[in-house]
Amino acid sequence: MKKSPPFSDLIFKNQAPVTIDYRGKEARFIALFFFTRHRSLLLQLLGPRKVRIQVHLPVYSIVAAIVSTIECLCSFQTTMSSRALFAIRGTSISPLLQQRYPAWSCDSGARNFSTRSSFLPSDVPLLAEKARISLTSKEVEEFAPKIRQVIDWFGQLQVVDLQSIEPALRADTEGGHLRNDAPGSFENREAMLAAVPSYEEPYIKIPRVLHKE
Amino acid sequence: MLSSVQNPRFYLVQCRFHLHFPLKPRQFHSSVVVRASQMVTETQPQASIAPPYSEILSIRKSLLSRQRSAAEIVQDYLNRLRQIEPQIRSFLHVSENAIKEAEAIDRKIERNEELGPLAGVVVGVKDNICTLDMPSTGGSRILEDYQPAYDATAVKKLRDSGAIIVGKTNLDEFGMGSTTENSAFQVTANPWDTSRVPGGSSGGSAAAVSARQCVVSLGSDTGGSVRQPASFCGVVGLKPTYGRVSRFGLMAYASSLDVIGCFGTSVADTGILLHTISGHDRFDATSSKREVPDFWSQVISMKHVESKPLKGLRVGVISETLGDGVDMGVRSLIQAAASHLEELGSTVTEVSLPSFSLGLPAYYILASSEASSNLSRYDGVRYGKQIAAEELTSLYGDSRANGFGPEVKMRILMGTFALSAGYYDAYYKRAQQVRTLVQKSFKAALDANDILISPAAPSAAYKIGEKKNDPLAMYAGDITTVNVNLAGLPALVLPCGFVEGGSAGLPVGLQMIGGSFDEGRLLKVGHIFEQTLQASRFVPPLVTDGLAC
Repeated sequence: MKKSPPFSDLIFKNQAPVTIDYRGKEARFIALFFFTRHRSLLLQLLGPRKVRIQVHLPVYSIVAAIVSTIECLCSFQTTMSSRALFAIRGTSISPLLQQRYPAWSCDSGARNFSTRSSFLPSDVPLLAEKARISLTSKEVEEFAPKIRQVIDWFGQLQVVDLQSIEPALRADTEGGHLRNDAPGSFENREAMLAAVPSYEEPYIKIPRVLHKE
Repeated sequence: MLSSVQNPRFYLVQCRFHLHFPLKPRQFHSSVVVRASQMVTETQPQASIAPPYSEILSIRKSLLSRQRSAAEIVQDYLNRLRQIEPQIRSFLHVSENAIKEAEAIDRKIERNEELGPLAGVVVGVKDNICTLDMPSTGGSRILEDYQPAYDATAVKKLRDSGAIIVGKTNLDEFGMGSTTENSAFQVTANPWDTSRVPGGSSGGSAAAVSARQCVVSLGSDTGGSVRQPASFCGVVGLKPTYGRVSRFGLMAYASSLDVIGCFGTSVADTGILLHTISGHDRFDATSSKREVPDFWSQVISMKHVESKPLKGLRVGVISETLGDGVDMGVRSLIQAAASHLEELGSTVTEVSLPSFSLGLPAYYILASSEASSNLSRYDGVRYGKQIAAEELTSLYGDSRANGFGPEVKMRILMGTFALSAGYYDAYYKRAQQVRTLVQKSFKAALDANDILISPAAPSAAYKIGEKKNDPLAMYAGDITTVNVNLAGLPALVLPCGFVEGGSAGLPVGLQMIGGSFDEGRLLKVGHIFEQTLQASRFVPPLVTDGLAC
């Protein structure tokens, strides 16, 4: 394992490790890299942060990983970190795998409507972060079981055979009438600007964007 | 005598009945015909109680004949509004300009100027539809006191036709909910029994029309939000075809499913309102360029009607909507309605829509996903309530956490999940595929039938608080309505009877689904059904006990 330069030590030394969950394609890819001699390359690519990588792999992952190596190579996205603590968590068959390799899926998954999705209660804060909503811990506690219940219920769609059915964007009533790409002006600009909470002509004021984490 | 040009179509009261169905040879199905087990309807419709006709036309008549002035009419409605409001709480904001606008109409009448078709008609508008001069909150704290800078196209069309917008009605926050209990401000009560919900999310609009606080009102329908409250409150609700009415100015919940819908006390009024707000809009790329037919020319007098006015009409009863999840009382009323339609000359058969039950989870996946995207604009930066913070992401996070209610937050989170990398194919894409299946099965059913019927909701209005804590139980109540939104088809709900509950029974609505852009047929059938129905008038006791109507 290559050492990170001291510069990054200064910045990141005392930071608490962050957990990143990898699933699906990315998980298989990372697992493959880690178990081969490309480990150092992986860790170098991942940057100078302290990170604990949790890779959620379906039970039949190894075979799946070999088969899907090439497609994973195309879709890999790097993020951050070296000094990665690598942990593999086995999960029940992910919905993706079940869809792609139905012959290998667990028997129980196909029976009931609630596929045991790999959605964890701890993910509600992650979702809230993505959705830019600051949830209190009480709300997380309250929402997590309800959300999990609804998502399990959504799982009914997994067992339906939807081969060769085109997805529909909206009702197939005609639409798509585009108007000319010609500029126009909105008459009531003052009312729009009057609605801005924090306005200092001509700027809409916001707090700082970049911050140290 | 008024010298202004009077539109002769509004005197259709005296017109003869014309059969509008295309005359082509038709095979009558020999499959199972639904028979009513309990209620028997008479063949000769001699209404002892006058059926509802058209409040809009009678207002117009009294204005033009100078029997009443617009100011009088509006004052009458305002008085009733204020009197009943403490009990049902259907309005979030009442206009201060209503009387002034009415006086302007009176001056126009005096000067013999031409009046718009809805002159003097008091209209309520759901609070997620933007109005320039009144706050539009969408039922949410994040838009508390937000005053839009423009009128929605539907509102603009109403104003141009002379309608008087009396106020903004209560709703579930951003349209998410089935009871108005998710409103950030107040819970609306059902005028038939104030301990029960009016339905949702357009509960305020439905309750306001039911309680005669306004003549007609606008709502929005994403998964049944106009049809279910129409059923619970005993009024007529119409969901137009997706693309019939412009969505410009409607706060987007799920852009591929939202439509603006109409409420009225009669099918005729609902049709007149629909005609006023329909049409292509350059600001809504999904609005259709199709010509809007004369919906209100379907309004006919029953004096000249034949004994079998619906002869040749093929009606399909959706069998999945009469299963175990639906109350017995509702089921028998729908079956009675089916036999009523038969007596009017139509052929009623049972139809099965195989992908029906899948529509509900598919709908919720699509709606939550699209909502998570549409509601990302409410960040407290350009409008709405801002919670100050040191950095931008916290500004977003805190403003949204403070402004959104719990149901909205949950749906945004579920949508975020369904759209996230690794899950998009498994949830959102599959839901889109189910949507195709639902569209195909409706198309097949509507090839074999002219209209489809079903209950508008699996039960009558339930008690406030009964389903608040169980999301799946609340979602299950939408089973009869969401598939229509997935297919983008029009649907009309009209009251067809009562079940037990409350002091005078609780109304139940019959849902009629038509083909794309076929609102004309729905309105005709609905009008004939309504005029020949043997039932007492659908006026809640709250109203009849109060002022003299």
